[in-house]
Parts: sequence; C-alpha cells; structure tokens
Amino acid sequence: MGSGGSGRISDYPGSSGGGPGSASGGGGSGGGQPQDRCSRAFTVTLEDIEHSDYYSARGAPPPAGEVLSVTLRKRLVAETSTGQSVGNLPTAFNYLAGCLKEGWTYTGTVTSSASGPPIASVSGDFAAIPA
Amino acid sequence: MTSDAPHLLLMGEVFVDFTITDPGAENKLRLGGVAHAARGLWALDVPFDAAVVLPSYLERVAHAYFTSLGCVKFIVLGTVDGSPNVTTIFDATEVADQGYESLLRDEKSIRLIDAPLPVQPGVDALIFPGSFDLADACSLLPTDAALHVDVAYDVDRPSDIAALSRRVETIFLSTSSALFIAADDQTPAGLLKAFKDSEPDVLILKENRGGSRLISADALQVKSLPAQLGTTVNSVGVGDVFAATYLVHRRRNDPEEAGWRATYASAAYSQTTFPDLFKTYVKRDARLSFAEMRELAGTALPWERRQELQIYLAAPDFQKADRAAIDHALAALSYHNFRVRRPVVENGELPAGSSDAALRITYQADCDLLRGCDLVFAIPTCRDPGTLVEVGLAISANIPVVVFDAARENANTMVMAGAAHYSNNLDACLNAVFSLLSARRGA
Repeated sequence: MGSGGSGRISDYPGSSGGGPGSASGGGGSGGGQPQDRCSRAFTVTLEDIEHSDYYSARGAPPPAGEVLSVTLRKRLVAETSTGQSVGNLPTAFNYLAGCLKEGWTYTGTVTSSASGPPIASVSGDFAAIPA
Repeated sequence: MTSDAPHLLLMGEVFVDFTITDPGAENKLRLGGVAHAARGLWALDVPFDAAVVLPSYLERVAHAYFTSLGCVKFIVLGTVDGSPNVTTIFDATEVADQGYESLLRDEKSIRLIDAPLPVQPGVDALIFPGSFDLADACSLLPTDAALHVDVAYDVDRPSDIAALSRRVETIFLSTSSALFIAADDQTPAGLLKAFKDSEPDVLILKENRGGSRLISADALQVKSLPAQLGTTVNSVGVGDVFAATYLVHRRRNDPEEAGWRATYASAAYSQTTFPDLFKTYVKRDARLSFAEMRELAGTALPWERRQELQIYLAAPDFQKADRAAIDHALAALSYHNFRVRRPVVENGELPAGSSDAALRITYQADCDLLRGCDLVFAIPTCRDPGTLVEVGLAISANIPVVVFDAARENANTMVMAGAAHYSNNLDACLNAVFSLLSARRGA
C-alpha cells in the first residue's frame, strides 16, 4: 500500500534526514524540512520574578509591552533594554544558551504581568534573530 | 594495529526500528540498536569500529550506513537467523512503556564468528548486550580491552556481567530496565553492591526525565546529572547516545563533566531525528563550558525520591467514566514511579443520592488529602465539576497544578492561567511534573 515512511533507510548524514522512511518535520514528525530549535519563536512564563533586578527596584514586575531580551548570566535571564533582569527562563529553554553563543538573539515583549498574590508573574513572547 | 586505529568499539545488534505513529502521520523507519550510539559518535566526529550482530539481508545497508557515520572497521560479529530484527515502537516519546515489539523474536538464533576481533589493543568497548551470548562475544576482544556495558536490555542478573571475567570500567543501568525493576535495593549503594563482583569504576543510573546519577565505586560518591527536558520527538536510542557521548568525553574530561555533556547530547537526540540537525545541536552545546552547564542546571528527580512526593489525581476517576485519558496518564505516572493519590479510590466513589453527611465527610477527606500533596495532576474530562473545584482549591493553597486536558474542553482563563502547566499533550504534562517537583524538592 506504499507507506512513504518505510521504503528505505534515508537518514544518511548530509541527506537532511527527510525523505521516505526517515523522520521529518520540525523535529522529526510529519512533513516538511527540519527546523532548527534556535530559530523558533517562543512564549514563556518567567520564574523567580521576585528575585529579579526589576522587581527588587520597583516592587512590581514590568507592565505588558515592556521590551525584553534574553541573555546568559548564570541562568538564562530575560532583561529590559537597560539591563535589569526580570526573571529566569525555565530550564526547558537551556538549549538557548548554545544558540546565544552562536550569535542568535532573542527579543520580545511582556504579554502579561501580575504582582500576585500568590506570586508575581510575567509572560512574554520572543522572536529569534539569526547572527 | 596502528595507534591511529579508533580507540572506541561499538558492539551490539543492529535492528530496523519502525515507529508506528498516529493515523495521518508518517511512520518512521531507521536503523536502530547500536546505530543510535554510532550517530552519537558521528555527531562528535569520533571515528570508531563496530562489531555487529545482524541478519545477513541488513549487512550491505548497515555497512554503508555505519561507514557514512565514521565507522572504520565494520565487523560482522554474528548473523541473525529466523528473525528480521525489526522492532516496532508504539510510543516514541516514552511517556509510559514504549511497547517495543521485536518481530519473530521467538524464532531468532544467532551464529557468532569464532575469531579474535581485529581491533586496537586496550580498546574501549561499548557493549549493548542482545540475544547473542555475551561471554562468547567478549572473549573475542583483546584481553586488555576496557568494557563499558549498557545493561538496559538482555542482561538477566548482575552476575552475568561478573561472569565475563573482564575488566568492566562502566556499567550503564536504566530505571526502565527489567534488571533495575527487579533489584532488591534500588539505591546507589544497593546497586553498587549488586554489581560488586564486576568491580566497575563507575555505575551510571539513567533515570529518564529525572536525570541520571553517576556513582563512583571507590568512595561511593554520587553526582547528579540533571536532565535537559524539552519537547520529545523520539526518545528511542537516547540512552545509547548518552553512553557513547559519556565515553568520548570521559577520555578528555573528568567523569562528571562527561556525564553532563552526555545529558545534553541525549536531550538533543530526543528532540530531532534529522541526523544533521542533531549534530548541529551537539556542536552548539559544545560551546558551553562545564561551569556554564552547571549554572544552567536542569531537572533532577531521583527514582526513589519520587515515591516521597505525592501527586493528587484530580479527575472523574470513576469506574464508569470515560477513562481513556485518565488511564493513559496513570500508566505514565506509575511508569515513572510517582506516588499517585487517588481520592476516589482512597475515600470512595459515592453513589448518586448519597446523604448530605456522606458527601461532607468525603469532601473533607478529599480536601485533606489534596492539601497533603506536593502537586495536583488534573484531568478534567467532560469538564468534570469536581475536578475543576479541586484545581481551584490547589491554586489557592499554592500547590502546583498540571492540567492534562486531552480534548481541550477546559481552555478557560482560570484553568489555563491558574495552573502551573496546561496542555493537551501528555509528554509536555509529564515534563512539567518532573520540572515542578524537581524545583519543589530543591526549594
């Protein structure tokens, strides 16, 4: 019946890994070309807001619309244009550290912000910019 | 043998891995078995030799494929008869048991060669046991070879490794393996004791999404190697890539750094099945220093610790409810050794028309149980009102809530924004459970 996914071994180095029989798609499922994880835009809810520079200075998180970028300190941190940290990225985004080293940059804006209780929260959308 | 010959030898079976996906998605076929570790070495640009056991029909394609990955000597260690060595996989993300099925496995027989393997003296042999006779295969290695054995499959008991009468430097053990599940004592000390006759320098316990632990035999030092969790595309062979990467870096760095770099490589392997993209990820992660990796941290939740952290199941966990999503999640949480508290099971399923007193007693018992838990895992099938109330109670009590909404029936502001994690994807929900409990444990 000709399933396109089982005809031959095709995930040879340099083959892009696509084609019948191998995985395809963003990471390996579905059709299309592979998408480098560095190039993906993402939405994130930041952590440890109360310990950030911004919250410590103002007693509140930044409002929606504040422009942010991602930088590598000890953890991956979202910071304002003046370099004040706003919160940590969850460790699920640790792969971005290698992307930053390669020259990718990530800028975005605060999409929601609350002082709590129970805790302060900040969410943001970020876009990837290649080196 | 020249000194330029590869110092690494991969030994094991070659399979065809065939992953069966949901209707509408393309199935996946690729070489498996020891081919996963070979991809890991290729990503690091490390040449290697391979001594493989496979059916004769696969020899040509496997030889070509391994050569493309940097294999210098492709040695057919044994031939499989009676079976195609095809493995079907039904859960490529390993939210629960992956459901491996090896076709015609009961008809399988193996003929090993009977000649010493032409490999470098003192070679590091990374061995993945299979259906072949492990002792016979190891007897073909140079007497000074250092053995590194991944005992995830096809090793029945620790004494099988001791019986090799060879120097075993590293043992890789997985919490997914039957050998681990059957262990009387699953603590680091207990596992070292079980393998004491093999006298390994290091035992590495791979704990799936909860990270790994590096246990050194001399001083019983235990080093945590946190997992780098991301969106899992295909977790098959991840442990093999871990082992291969660890061995390469172990020659260059101390074992702990080798372990950390192995966790990054295995995470990358789980996130793509495109080999070139995988290699790109590995190269990119190599830009990070060991110190930076440690600062970035990750998810660490030891197997035995998971039983101490209680998860409250908020769901219509009734006998006659739609149980598909509930049973799927319960199987996943149980597979990963979490202690799930089920109020309906523990405090009773009240029949319709129960007295007011019975309702209040059960309500209070459920509330008490919830407040004693570390996390609430909610499955609000059919917008079950009881489940949604429990979600609210947990939020107000500052207990993290993970909502697995398979049908996305509850995509509501209060549910989505109040929960620590909301998704219709069980893999993502499972990652959230590990991350949240790991953070709670570290807090």
